[in-house]
Amino acid sequence: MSAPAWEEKERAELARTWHEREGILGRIVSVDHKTIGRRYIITAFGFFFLGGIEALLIRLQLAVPENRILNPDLYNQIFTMHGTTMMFFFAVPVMLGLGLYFVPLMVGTRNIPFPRLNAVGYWFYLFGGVYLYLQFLGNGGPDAGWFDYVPLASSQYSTGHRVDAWVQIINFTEISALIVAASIIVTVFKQRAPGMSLNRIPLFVWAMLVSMVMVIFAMPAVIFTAGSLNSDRTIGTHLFNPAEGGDLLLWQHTFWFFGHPEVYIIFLPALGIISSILSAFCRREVFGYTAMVLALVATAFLGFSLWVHHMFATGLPQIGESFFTAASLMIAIPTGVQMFCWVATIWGSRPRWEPPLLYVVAFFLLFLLGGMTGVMLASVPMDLQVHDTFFVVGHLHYVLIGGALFPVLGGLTFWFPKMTGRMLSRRLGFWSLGFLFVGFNMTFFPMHELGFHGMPRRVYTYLPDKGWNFWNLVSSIGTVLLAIGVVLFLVNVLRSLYRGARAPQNPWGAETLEWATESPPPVYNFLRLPVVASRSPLWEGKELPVVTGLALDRREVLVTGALDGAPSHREEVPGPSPWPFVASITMSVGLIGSVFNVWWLPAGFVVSIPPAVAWYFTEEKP
Amino acid sequence: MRRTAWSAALLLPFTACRASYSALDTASPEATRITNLHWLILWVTGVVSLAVIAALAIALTRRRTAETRAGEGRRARAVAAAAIVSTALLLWLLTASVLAGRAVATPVGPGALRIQIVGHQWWWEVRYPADPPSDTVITANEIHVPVGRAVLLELSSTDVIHSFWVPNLNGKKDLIPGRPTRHLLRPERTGVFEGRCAEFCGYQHAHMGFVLIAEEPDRFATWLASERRPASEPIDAAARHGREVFLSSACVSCHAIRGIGAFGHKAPDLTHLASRRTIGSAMLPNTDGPLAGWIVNSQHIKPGNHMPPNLLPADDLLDLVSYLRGLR
Amino acid sequence: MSSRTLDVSDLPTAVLDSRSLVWWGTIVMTVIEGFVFAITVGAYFYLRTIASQWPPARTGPPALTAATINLVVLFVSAIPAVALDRAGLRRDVRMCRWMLAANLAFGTTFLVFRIYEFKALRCMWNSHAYGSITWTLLGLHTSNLITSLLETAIVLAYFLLRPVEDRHYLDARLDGVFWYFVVVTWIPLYAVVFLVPRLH
Repeated sequence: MSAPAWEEKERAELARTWHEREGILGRIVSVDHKTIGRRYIITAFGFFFLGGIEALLIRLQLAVPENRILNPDLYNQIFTMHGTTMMFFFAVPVMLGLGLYFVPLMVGTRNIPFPRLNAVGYWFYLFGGVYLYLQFLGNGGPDAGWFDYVPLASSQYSTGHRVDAWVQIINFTEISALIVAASIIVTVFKQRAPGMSLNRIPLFVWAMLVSMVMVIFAMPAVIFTAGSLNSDRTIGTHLFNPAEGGDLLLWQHTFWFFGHPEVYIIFLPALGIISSILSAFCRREVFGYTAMVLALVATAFLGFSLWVHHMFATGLPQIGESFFTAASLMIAIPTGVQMFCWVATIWGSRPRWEPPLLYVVAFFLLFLLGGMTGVMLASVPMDLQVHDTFFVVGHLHYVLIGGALFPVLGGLTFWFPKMTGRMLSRRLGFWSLGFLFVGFNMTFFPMHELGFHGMPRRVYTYLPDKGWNFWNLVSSIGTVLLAIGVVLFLVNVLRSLYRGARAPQNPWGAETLEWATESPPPVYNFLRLPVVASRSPLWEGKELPVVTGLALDRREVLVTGALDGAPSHREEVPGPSPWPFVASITMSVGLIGSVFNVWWLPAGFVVSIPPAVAWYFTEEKP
Repeated sequence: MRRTAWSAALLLPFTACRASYSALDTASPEATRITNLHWLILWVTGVVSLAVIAALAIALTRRRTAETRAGEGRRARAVAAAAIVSTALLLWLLTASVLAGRAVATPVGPGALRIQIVGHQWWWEVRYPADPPSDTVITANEIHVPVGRAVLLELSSTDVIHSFWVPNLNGKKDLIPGRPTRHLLRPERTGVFEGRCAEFCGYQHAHMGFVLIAEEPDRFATWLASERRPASEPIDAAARHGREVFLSSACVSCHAIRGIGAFGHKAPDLTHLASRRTIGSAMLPNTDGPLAGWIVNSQHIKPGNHMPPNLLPADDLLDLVSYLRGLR
Repeated sequence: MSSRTLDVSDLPTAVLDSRSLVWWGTIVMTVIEGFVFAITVGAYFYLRTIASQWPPARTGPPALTAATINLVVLFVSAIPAVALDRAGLRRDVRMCRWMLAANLAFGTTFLVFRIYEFKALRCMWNSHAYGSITWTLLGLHTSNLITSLLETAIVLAYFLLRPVEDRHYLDARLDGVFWYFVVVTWIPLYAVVFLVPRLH
């Protein structure tokens, strides 16, 4: 059935206006949110593989006592790189990528509001990671843990530039996260489809919004922390030097004030993914929309008030500690409410038995277990026994892998048809999930036992008479199964990209706006922006009304009111440009150079001025 | 107690390994209180988790029913009830935790035994302060305490943050440079307990262990009195020669032996080295072979530690070992 | 395709106020910067609480002259900032150019006196923790100041060299908004850096 002539004409004009150039130059100047979102996701998984190799090396070293595969120097670098890679270069960026890709589609707009700034965000992320690994390959990887406590991380006990690399990548990744956060927040508030009042936005969008607001308030803390360590190490400030009035616990306070919200920044989008999958597969709205939204907001607030639970062993006053125990326990409630609402959603709905649903079930099982150990860790006297042992390593992997990675894999399976126009193999999906689930539990469940038996974390080896041998071996064998699961997932993705069944526009019969356009979406997202009248636009029963009157010869988006989604005005957003890339290079060179000589930093800043000027002056010309 | 027995039965496979260092094998009222709290949390959260999993399983397998207002109302009430029950249970656990926390941290009276522990990269300095100060006992990596008496540890560090942990006796406490902390131990049975550092402190964090021996009060007093004496005199010519080797080598720049004029303070005090069970921060048994190997090249055993290799001629080495093995 | 349509062609394409996307982006950025200040001020008071003497005896509290002059400069500079704001809204090119230039002049004056403010601290960033945190606070504000000046210079250059469209009036207004941020954050920071050391 061929489209009417006016439709062809509009399509052609939109394609021309929103055109993304091809080739290497095209990649450099691109500003489309889907391109950049996809880049974040692919790059994040690249780092995931690197972090996974580091994990395999760690478990290989710990498989048997007194192993000599890795000497302590290399081991300390590897476990630091593993944590740093997974937290800063995989877990957060993959959520940023999913948000960048899907939030604009779900709210019904054409692109994010600050496309060129977003490009900078990605380049900073990439350059930071490349720098970190280059230094690691040169035997200069950071080696004081992913949260570098001082004074171990100070210039006195960590000589050379290893910890400096860690400090700098904080800058790179936190700038990147802040940029994406600003983009997503403004998109959600100002660029929604007409009729999409705030109480009609999908739960995934709420999750991303709350998570990005957390980014706004958490990243400044780590800017201060890392910046202060940087200045202590390079120009002799005394913020963490007790001999001159500084304080060691100031590091821990300011780091964890960022660090704990960081895990919720990672976790909240995962909760959003689950809501998306369940509503589609249960073919009904998630139960208790208001409760779900309030639960997200409550989690965010509480997430900022529990950081001291990482510091229970430092000898702080008991009254203070009890407050943080209370907060750490109470945060289980909003997440519990979400789980109860999901069970209520599934109840009586007979969902389709597909891999994304199984990932949700896996999440339930793993996160409940992680929650149990979390309650134990929240209790001060219990924490004092298992803090800094493999018990914590077990707990954190249950909540991060169970609570974030499994939902992400489920979400990618769910959204793969939309992003690529192909379906993933169902069989391979079940197999990879099976290996992942069994391998994960085999690797991480014994760690709780090891923690109770006295095995501290971050040890490069252990003596054979401690009674830890058996479970360490089991855990290390489990990583093989985990690795197979990851490889199977990758194989599934690669094969399906070229040979998967073609996906229709809405293979799951889902209800949110990303399914209202082609698979994959055209660069301009929607031929005409939809108008919505409910939370589940595609289930409204009739064809959606659309917006007309937006200019087709300019990159124009519709701006709507923050609360009610009523159309407000039309605004033009900038198009592709090489200047974000150039400015990213100059600033990155300044930041990286400052590791070796502090004058590179102001120099980098100064050299970034011309590209910034060019950027500003060419804004009207794509 | 019965609950503990049931739980213990369930976890029998776990406790099949050597139980000495386990937080679940308690040797003090504090550790027992913590372990009981652990079982409480495990049961409460376990039951809730199983209930949620059961509800999920039922939800997944029930047949599809149409949505009705009544059904909505039922589900809303179920969710609300679950939330209220969970909150109540968490409040219960909060109360239990706070009470347990207060119980394990009750301040000790003036009759407590004071021990100062100073953390170094990667060994433990142990001091028993006394009045007059010349009676202060200084040793390393091995702590003796009397059973049935409160022990107050005063913890500090000379370099980076370490953490003191004896799982059988109590939770851990950090040793923070410039910020002394205090910790309480109350062993209620005799035994040899392992302790270790539990805060990543550099290369050899993995091998920063120590031994804590809880003994009868009179044996403890004997031990303390013996540690107070200056170094034993060498008993034969070889040992005498060994003492010369010690005094003329690099050893004296770091190690102290009271009574022979060696005052090094950067490394463990060796005055009563032979009375200790282990060397290398609980890495090796304190016997001739390991001791000799350690002296010659501790870097091979504990790479990165601050003791340089000492390539002594074989005779000197044997005599030195002979001297050191006589320092009871 | 649906037959029901919502025609938005009569909506304005140029808004110069808080409905604009770029306005929202600027606000988000100021919130971020503001929170960096808040955390740093928190660290300042944390260090002060654990100090036996603040500032350390050998340093003493900072001299007030340069800072108080600067405070006056800052308040006066609000006048051209407000005028710039209004001129942008009115789309008055000439007034915008003059007020941008005035903003630049006041900002540069402020920057010059800022050098004396640093000297008035009577210590260096590496003297002790008090020096470190105070230089950090002052340094953070100064970096915001420099960024604002650069932004003003670039926008002014554009206003002088290129044809001015609606979006540029918005940028001029936002330049004024960012200057408000620099002014408003200075008030509590002035109190923390220059007055709190005098408290006992």
